[in-house]
Amino acid sequence: MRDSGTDTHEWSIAPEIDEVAALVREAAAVLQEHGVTGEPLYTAQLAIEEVVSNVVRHGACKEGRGVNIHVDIDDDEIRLTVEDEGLPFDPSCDAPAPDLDAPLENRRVGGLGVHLVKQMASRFDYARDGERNRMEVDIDRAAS
Amino acid sequence: MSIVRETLSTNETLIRIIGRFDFNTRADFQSCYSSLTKAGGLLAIDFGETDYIDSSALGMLLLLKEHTDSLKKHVVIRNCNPEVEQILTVSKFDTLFTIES
Repeated sequence: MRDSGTDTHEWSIAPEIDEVAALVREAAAVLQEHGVTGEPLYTAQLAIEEVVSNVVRHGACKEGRGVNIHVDIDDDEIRLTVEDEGLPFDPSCDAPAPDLDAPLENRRVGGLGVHLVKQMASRFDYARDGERNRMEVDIDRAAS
Repeated sequence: MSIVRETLSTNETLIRIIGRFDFNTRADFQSCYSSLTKAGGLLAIDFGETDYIDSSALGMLLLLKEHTDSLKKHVVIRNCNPEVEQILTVSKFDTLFTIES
């Protein structure tokens, strides 16, 4: 990714949940302009919404600091990168995994968003880079 | 986005979700099913015009299921597009609901 055939689009939003829906709409429009349709488009929207919502809802951002979102698109793949300056928080380790076999009364929504993204994307990685959390999600365009 | 409730018969109610089913739909969806008080019968959720669901939608379906279980009402989810059906399957919601193509 990020070679000469990659188009990069960037957004920076305030850490507020109302900002997420507009971000997803704008990113979806950009992806469609690049010919992304079907399952890859769906997975990309889901990844943006679930990962960014997670950052905002868990208050990972320092006051006044936004969330930075990069979407890199090439012919084969979409890469989503989400960065914030909050406390270290790896959603795939620090949040409990959902028990999908639990009976209804014990089913919880917490953790489902990350679970969905991990199942539908080809890669989900977290790294602590200095003072920043960075999550990367790769989505294969083969199903377009 | 809109949510429509229709009474199909004395024993069957239909809820159609048009557009995106996500966090912004929560109040409308809840008001649509919470006024169902008659025990028994069938509630069909029609996703034929639903192009997107997320984890918030799954949370709303769990709350719906608690309500309908208390009324002993059966819930069927119909007409999912492939991506929506994949979300439900990956989350094992097919063990909680009857999902009809």
